[in-house]
Amino acid sequence: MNCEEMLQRLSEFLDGELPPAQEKEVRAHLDGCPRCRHEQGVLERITTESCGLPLYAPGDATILSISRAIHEADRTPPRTEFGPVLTLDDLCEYLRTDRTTIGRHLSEIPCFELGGQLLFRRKSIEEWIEQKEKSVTFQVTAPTADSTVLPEDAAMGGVRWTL
Amino acid sequence: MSGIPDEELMMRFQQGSAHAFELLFEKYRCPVFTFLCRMLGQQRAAAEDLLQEVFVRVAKAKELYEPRARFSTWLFTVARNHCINFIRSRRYLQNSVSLSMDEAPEGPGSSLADRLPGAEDGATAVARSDLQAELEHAICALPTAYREAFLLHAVEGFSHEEAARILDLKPATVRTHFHRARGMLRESMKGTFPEYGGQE
Repeated sequence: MNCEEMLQRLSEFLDGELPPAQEKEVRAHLDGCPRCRHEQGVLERITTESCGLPLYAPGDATILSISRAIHEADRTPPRTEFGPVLTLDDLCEYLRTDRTTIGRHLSEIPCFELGGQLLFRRKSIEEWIEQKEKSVTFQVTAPTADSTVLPEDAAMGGVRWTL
Repeated sequence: MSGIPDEELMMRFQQGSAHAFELLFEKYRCPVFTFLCRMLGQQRAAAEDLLQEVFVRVAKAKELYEPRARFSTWLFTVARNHCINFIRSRRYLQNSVSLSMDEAPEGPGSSLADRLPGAEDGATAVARSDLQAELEHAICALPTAYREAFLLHAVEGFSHEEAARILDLKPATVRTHFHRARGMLRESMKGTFPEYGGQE
C-alpha cells in the first residue's frame, strides 16, 4: 500500500469501518510512514474540533418573531385534516380550488351520489391525483397581462400554466 | 418539562400544548440555526429567515409527525429541505454575489472569523479560536453534498443511517460523502497543524 492509497482509506480507518485485512495493511503502513502518521493526526484533530464547534444564536428579534409566527400558525386550523368522505365544499378546500373548476373536471373526478348530494371518497381522490401527477407535464410561459388566470389548455397531453 | 423526550413533547403539542413546542423551539433553535448558517456559507440573515420558515412549517405540519421517527431527525429533514430549496433559488445566488463583493476589501474586520455569526453575538457564542475559524472556512468550501453529510454526522452527531434519512440517500452514499468531506478537510487544513510534523 502506497501513501496515496493509504490516505484514501484513512478516514474509514479512523472510524473502524475498514475490513480487517485492509485495516492491518493501514496499520503496517502507518508504523513505517511518518508523513501518513502526520495526516492521521490532522484527521483526528479535525474530528475532535468538529465536535466542539460553537453554536450560533439567532438574534433576539428573530426569536421573538418566530415565537409569534409559531403561535399564529398553531392557532390557524390545519387545512389538511379531512374525513374519509368529502362534500363538494370539502373537495374545493382539499384541492385548493373553487366549485367552477371542480365542475369543469367533474366527468373525470371519482364521485358518488347519496340523498341528492355529491360526495367524494378521499382515497379515490388521492388515487386520481396520483394518476394526474403521472400524466401532467408543465410548460411554463412568460407572464401575461392577466397572469392570475390559469388557463387549462391541453398542451402536449398536459396542462399549460401561466405564471 | 425539561426532562421529557422530544417525541413526547411533540405529541403534547399535537394534543394542543403550545408550551411543549416552545420547549422544542428553545432546545433546537441554536442547533438548527447553526446548521443553516454553515450550509449557507454564513449568510446569517438568510439563515434567520429559513429558521422561521422551518419552525413555522413544523408547527403547521404537526399532525404529520409520527413518533416512530426521532423528532430531531424530522426537524433537520425539514431544515435541510428548506435549505436546499433556498440554495437552488435565485435569492441565494443574489446573496452569494453580494457577499463575495463585500469580501473584496482586505483589512481589519474583513476576515472570515469576523464575519461569522458568533462574532455578532458576543454574549451568546463561545469565543472562537483561529483553528475553529479555519475549520469553519474549510467546511463552507466543501461541495454541498459533502458539506451536509459532514455537518450532520461529525458536527450534529447523527448516525450515518439518520443522516441518510434526512438527506434521502442510501447510508452507503452518505458514508462515502462523509469520508470524502473529511479527506478534503484534511487536505485543506494540514498546514494548520504543524505540531504533527515532528512525529517521526
